[in-house]
Amino acid sequence: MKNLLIIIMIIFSIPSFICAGEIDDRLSSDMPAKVKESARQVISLGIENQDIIQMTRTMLENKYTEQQMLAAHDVLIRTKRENLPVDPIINKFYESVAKRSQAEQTVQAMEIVRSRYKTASDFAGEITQDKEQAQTIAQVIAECMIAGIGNGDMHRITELLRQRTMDMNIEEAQVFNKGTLSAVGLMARSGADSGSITEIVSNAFQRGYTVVDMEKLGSAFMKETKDPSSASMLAESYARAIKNGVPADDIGNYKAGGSRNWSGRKSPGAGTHHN
Amino acid sequence: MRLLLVFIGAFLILSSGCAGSNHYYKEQDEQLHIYLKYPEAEKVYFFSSLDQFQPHEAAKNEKGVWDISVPSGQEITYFYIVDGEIFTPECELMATDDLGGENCIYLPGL
Repeated sequence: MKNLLIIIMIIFSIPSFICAGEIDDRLSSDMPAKVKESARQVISLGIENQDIIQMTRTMLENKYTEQQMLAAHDVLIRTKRENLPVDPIINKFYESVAKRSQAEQTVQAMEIVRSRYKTASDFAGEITQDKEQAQTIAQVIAECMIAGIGNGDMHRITELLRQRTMDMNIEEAQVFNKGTLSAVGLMARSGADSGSITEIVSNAFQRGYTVVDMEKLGSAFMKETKDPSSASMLAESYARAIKNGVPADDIGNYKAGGSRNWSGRKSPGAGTHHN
Repeated sequence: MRLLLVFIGAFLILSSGCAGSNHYYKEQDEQLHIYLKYPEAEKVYFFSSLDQFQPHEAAKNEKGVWDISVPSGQEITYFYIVDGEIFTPECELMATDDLGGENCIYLPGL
């Protein structure tokens, strides 16, 4: 039994010996020992060898200091320990390098991405208890936040979603959450401000909009927006229209600055509606 | 006279859709072509989230439109470097790059 245990321990330690050897082989001799050790630590958490080796080499080529390289690895270590996705952080690193950003700015951007995904994950946990669904929802929430939805508004939107989906079964709730958040992301990416989008969601839920309605809203908004500068005005117009009882199918008839009572009377506004 | 006014109106409507369209997409044969109208540029590189932002040199046609093609059907975050300077055209969908700038986003099916 003792011999068996020793054999099992040796077998499980082989990958780390290989890993240590690979790090030494594939990272140049002028790579500081602490950075090599840090790279091993990142890999030991389950991040792909090749990704870390390539990223570490790139940092050396771009003349990152030892401290900066360790800081970049540390972001990945914390990301992995918090069960957050690592790919967005590695992508941010390469994007930053492509944009010729300073090392400090790159590490900061990586940390911003990590922090965003942590916040998104926390918000997702408030909407659903299902871990797999929470991961999917967290990704969509992160995309909303990258597009400009502030923490406060995101908190309000998730609270609205939690209340709205309270009586739905898990599958229905997932579809509703994902569809609504995708619409939110579309409006935010089109340039609408965070507050106006939150008001749209609040008014839409009060009017009993379905997930199909929310998706129509997002698509109509994107098609209607001429440019980012007009998007916020359009969002305000949508929020007003929904509050006045306009159904989702007809939202696309509204232009920025104008509104129309659904009784058919035109109310004062800078713009005009068109069919 | 009425016909003339209708004709002028139609012309204005049609041309307003084209004016300022210096950046657009076209899907063809499972490829997404991304076009950038920038006649004065000499070198244009395209960077995207599809491959960890590796540089891809765009091709210029005789009308000064730069073309890059990528596999279609995927969400893409991207930007350009035009003659050595970072350039993000006015896109329908945009998001912060966490570096003080913005990226374009392409969503398939929209």
